[in-house]
Amino acid sequence: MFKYILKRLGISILILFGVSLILYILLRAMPTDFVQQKIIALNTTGATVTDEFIQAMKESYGLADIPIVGYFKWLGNILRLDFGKSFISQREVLSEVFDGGRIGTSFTVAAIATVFEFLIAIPLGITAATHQYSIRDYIVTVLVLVGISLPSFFFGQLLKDIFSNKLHWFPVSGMQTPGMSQTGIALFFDRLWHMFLPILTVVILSIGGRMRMTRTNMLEVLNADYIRTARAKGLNERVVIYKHAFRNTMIPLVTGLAGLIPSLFSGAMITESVFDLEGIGSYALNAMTQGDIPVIMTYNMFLAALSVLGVLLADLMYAVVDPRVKLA
Amino acid sequence: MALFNKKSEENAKKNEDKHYLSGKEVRAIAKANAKEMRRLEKAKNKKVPEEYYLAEMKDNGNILEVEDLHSYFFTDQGVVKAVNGVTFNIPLNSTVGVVGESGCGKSVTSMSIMRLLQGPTGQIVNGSIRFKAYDFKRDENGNPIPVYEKDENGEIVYEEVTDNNGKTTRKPKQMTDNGGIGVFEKEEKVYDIAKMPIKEMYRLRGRQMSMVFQEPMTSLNPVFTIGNQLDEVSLLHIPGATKELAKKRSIDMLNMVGIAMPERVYASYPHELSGGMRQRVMIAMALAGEPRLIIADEPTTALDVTIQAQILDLFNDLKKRINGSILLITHDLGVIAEMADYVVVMYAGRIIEQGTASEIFKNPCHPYTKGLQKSKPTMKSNEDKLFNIPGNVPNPINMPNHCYFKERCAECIGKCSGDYPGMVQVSPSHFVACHLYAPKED
Amino acid sequence: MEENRETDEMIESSENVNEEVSGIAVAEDKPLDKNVKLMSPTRMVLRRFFRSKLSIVGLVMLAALLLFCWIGPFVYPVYKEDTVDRSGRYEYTAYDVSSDNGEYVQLFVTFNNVNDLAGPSAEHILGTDEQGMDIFTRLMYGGRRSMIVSFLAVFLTSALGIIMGGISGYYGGIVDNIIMRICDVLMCLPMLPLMLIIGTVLDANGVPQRYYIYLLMGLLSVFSWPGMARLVRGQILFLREQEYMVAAEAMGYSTARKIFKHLIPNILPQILVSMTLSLGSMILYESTLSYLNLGVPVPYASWGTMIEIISKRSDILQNNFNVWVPSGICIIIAVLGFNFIGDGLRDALDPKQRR
Repeated sequence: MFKYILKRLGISILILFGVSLILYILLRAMPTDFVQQKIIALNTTGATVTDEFIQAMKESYGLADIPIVGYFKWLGNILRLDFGKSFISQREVLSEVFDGGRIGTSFTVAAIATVFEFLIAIPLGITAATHQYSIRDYIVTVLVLVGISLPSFFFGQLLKDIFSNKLHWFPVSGMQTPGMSQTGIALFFDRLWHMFLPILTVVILSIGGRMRMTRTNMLEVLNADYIRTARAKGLNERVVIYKHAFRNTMIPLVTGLAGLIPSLFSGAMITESVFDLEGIGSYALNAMTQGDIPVIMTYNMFLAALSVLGVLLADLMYAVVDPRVKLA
Repeated sequence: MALFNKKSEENAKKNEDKHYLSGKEVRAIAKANAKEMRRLEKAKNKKVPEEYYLAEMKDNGNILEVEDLHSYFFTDQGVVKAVNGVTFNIPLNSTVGVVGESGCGKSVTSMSIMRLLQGPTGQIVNGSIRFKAYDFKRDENGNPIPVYEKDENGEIVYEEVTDNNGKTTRKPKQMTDNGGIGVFEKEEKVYDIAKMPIKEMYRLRGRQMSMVFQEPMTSLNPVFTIGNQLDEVSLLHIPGATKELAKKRSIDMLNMVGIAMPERVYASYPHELSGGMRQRVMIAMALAGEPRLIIADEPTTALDVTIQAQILDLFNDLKKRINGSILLITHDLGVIAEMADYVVVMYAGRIIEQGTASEIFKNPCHPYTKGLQKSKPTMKSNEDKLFNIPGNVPNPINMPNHCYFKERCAECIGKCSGDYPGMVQVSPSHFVACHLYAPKED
Repeated sequence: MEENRETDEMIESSENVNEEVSGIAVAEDKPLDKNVKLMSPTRMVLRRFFRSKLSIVGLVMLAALLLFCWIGPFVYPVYKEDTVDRSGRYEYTAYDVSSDNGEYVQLFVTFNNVNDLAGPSAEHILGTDEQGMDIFTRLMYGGRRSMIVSFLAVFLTSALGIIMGGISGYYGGIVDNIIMRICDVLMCLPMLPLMLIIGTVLDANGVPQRYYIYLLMGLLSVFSWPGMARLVRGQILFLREQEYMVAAEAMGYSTARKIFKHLIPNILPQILVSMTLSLGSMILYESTLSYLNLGVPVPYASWGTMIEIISKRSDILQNNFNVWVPSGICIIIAVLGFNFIGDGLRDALDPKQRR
């Protein structure tokens, strides 16, 4: 068990190495890097920019070396837990990226959305499976498939326009009502009120996949011999479905939970930018369009690390949930 | 899109082939099926008063009477008449064996009795299955009525009961059996299972009749312990059973089916046990509700020969210990010879011969039964080649109205092309469906 | 009495079944086990596919969209993709002015030589966008571009995935290990950020913006084949364990024969289902990239770029539904159509299906 985890961790580090290499090389291939943007800005103000000045600036941003050397320098810094400074704000990247407010906002939206996603998708999936080919199955399937088929930006904008601009039920954008100094519970509810539409968007977009997964699993399990045994025992249909079948259906769903870890912290880029939420997603989107290499690298590597961790956790969860699985 | 074009071209080619159904035929079948399935599914879930499915036994010595049972599968290829007019009885405290090749409808018969046919395709279309249940008598609220202990004078014995609040009350003392389980009043009732709504079946399954399946490897739920799955039966079927009682009973049951370390097996998961062990657990599970009828659907087919013998011994042993009947379904004549009191031989969804075990083995009448016995390998026979019945079992769609065994039969006579033969009585308990034995018409 | 009636009904209707089904001729001379006519495998698949009404709905939706996009411009040739309506129009703006002479209304009349943001009318079925181009026409051309791009991306992804997965599954060992680790790395790359970065790279290298989306979707395929590769590899590993492959091995069949005669036909259904479903997600991806300003530039149209304008101009978001909602609906119809068909195909081609 311990050996298995060690081996998996070793592979994970290899994967992260590959991911970071690809990302860094690509980033350095962006010729409109930050220095050039600055120089252009300086030029427009009429200042003369000497070559020495450019070189010094490149040095200070770590952009002087050829990409591969730069990568290893970056890697060395990372291993010393030095993530560099954001080009834009000149603050430490770590404090910038992990600024409580940002990641907290994204996490709140994602966590609440995930809870609702499971609470809605699993019962729907079970009903659809137990009433296969019935009207109920059709309605549920059509609704959730429409959900998956919605482009997030379109749906977000539509919700925003209808509920915020036209009906004024929800605020148009932002994190909290401006000009109000609320505290405690009131602040919490005000924030929730602002987050309602983004959460709704994320939930509706993600229910479909989860529901289809539940339905497929449930259908497979319902055909199993042990379900027939359970019925032959005299258990009523409710116990058969919610104890015997559900416990087996849960296995892939629970392990799927671990795979959700990255999405909990990544922030929904599009949704956040549609609703002007100050989350990590919209922040990263902004950094990416401006070529802020340290921020982009840290953000993306953070996500990659989380997804590697998610895969590992999912495997470990399997061993916990399914008595048949032994890790070796 | 291109894919479908190509496929329809292929279709055009295949239409010439008589083996395949044409699109028109497929649509006709689908339409007829949909209508039938909807009607039968509705009937299955309809709430009806108890009187509707109460029945009378024809012979009070029977526990189960199957009469003219028709169970069909409404498939896309047509209506598969898997069970097509089957009639037989299971007397109390006896073992009835059903033999036949695979696909002859013996498993479907057992599934029909348990009402476990997978809907909406599989349905009991017609016929009755009368079952004599010995169930708890219930008061108006549906609660079982306890039997109270009585002293020599016939007076009810009272005992002091202290409840959780420390209050002491005098209550009549409930009688208990050797296992310490409370006794309740019971009554005999005859149900027509074929007419029962599915919801009512929950009362019969497990407690009145239980089933041992063919596949011990997949018939136990992999994510629950053996104990959990066994306890479930006791908790469900014994009124007022506690967890401790259920566990005690489960371990007793495991002991009874010859499991050496019941406590350990109790705590283990199905995948940790061998096939034979799992089948023993399945049998223990079938026994836990103290049913009066156990249906064993090929209980030994998936097991090694040595384990098979052990399981059969166990069944033989149980026959003496439990107060009930066994319906044994198998394709193995040896198993039947060893176990059964009465034998039913099925072919293509119909019974072709039935009688006591000795009648069937000593005096087989139907050419198919004879063929079955001859195709059994024995040490005594000197022939190099094993006897086999030529041809295959028909797929029971669109069966003609003549003997289904006609083409494969060695003793076929002119009359065989006529109507399907009726049951002919050979001896008081021996019946055969064959024109060879039909009384001569003058 | 009641009971009897019910049973009679039962018998009656079961006889009905007999009659209807026995319309199928039974050849008398054949042995009984051969007298049954079966459904041909193709018909079985078709029947399963069409059992779900949703498959039919999906087919109809997609057929309608394809017709709309490819035949539409011939039926409604009034405008081209980039025709700007220069008929012009007068704009009136009224102001309340109060002066010493009392209050009066001042009317400004401006002449706008481009008929932009017009509402739906006989001239423009869905009105015009902010450039004065006909939205209805642009929906057709935009649909062509969006769907072609997605088709190409899916085919590229699948081809790469099948090749890599095939190699990995068939040869196993160290090759398999390397390919699977590459898959792991690619699966850990955050796609959307990656596309944004590549977008800027393209921008700087002087690639004309109208080719962005093709290149981006191509690169997306290069990065997203691991899903398909894993599917193919898993299937091959599974099939290799099956008895008939062992039999093929024992018969001494050549590798090519084993692959093309036995493996490919068995994997094809899964590949087909996965491709159909990913067509939908590729269309979504294309529109998302377009929304992030990486799509084709005006005057070229794609469904995503037609929505993009609302991220810049909230007045259009609020006042001109006809500009952005139609293309959103088109995207939904297309994706939904592919999802319906994919679901239907999965049910139809799944050999494990019992019904």
